[in-house]
Amino acid sequence: MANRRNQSDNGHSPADPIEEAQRTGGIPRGKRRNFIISFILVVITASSADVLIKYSVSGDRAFTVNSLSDIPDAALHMLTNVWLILAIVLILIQFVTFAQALRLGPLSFVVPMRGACTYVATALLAQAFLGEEVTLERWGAIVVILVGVTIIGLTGGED
Amino acid sequence: MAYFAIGMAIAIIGSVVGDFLIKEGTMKVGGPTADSFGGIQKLLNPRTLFQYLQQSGITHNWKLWLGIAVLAVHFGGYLLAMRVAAVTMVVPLMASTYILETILAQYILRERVTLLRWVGVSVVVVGLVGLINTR
Repeated sequence: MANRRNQSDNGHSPADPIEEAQRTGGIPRGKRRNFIISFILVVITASSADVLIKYSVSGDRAFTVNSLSDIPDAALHMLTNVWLILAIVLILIQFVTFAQALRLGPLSFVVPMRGACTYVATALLAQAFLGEEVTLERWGAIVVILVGVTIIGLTGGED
Repeated sequence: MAYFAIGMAIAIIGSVVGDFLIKEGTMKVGGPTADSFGGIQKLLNPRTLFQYLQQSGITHNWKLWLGIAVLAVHFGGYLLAMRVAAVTMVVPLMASTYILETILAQYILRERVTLLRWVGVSVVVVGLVGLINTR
């Protein structure tokens, strides 16, 4: 550590941690906590937004669209729905935290891991808060999709 | 069931087309990409945000605005699907976007798509077929 500081004092300034990590494909030293916090925030906001969306169209909050002319009314009805507005705010927070996570961590790790954690977290939240029944078969199908998404993520993806 | 299929189709196609247009649009103005995202603080400050919008020519970027409009339509379809189906059906089904994106990349954008990516897409297809057949 002391050695490191000496080097920078001698004019050999150490590489920018983010650049260094992008070169080596890892998460920059000293940025790990930042990365983990943004990643957890991405998962929490994405999964709770989906549960809120479902809640916002459940029961008497539902809208009806039987023809194209019903769309403006339905849109107005939904845009004044507090739960949906809350969901949209969470989605916006998710965009910002996802960009932050992508800046700190490698794409081929962040994208599949976001998929994996978000699907599982959403299913757990839907079970807990919406009383949705998630059968073993459905868990199995979700896991197979996750494996596929992870393989796609490993290819570097242009996502 | 018809609502679900229509909503899901709008949500999936809208997501792919909207993301594609926004990506094309942002590449044209050169920001904010994952690499240049030192700009988060800038984007949160109204004054620098306004400067950024002016400099980037974002107001004349039709691809970006069309992309945003398509994403709004996508959201409408997503709501329609959510209204009739379970969260654990709709959310994993959105993985179909990977299939569409890969086909788009290979046959329309003429990008080189690796064999491994097709393997991943096949696994996703198997999972989706399984998912649709679950209760």
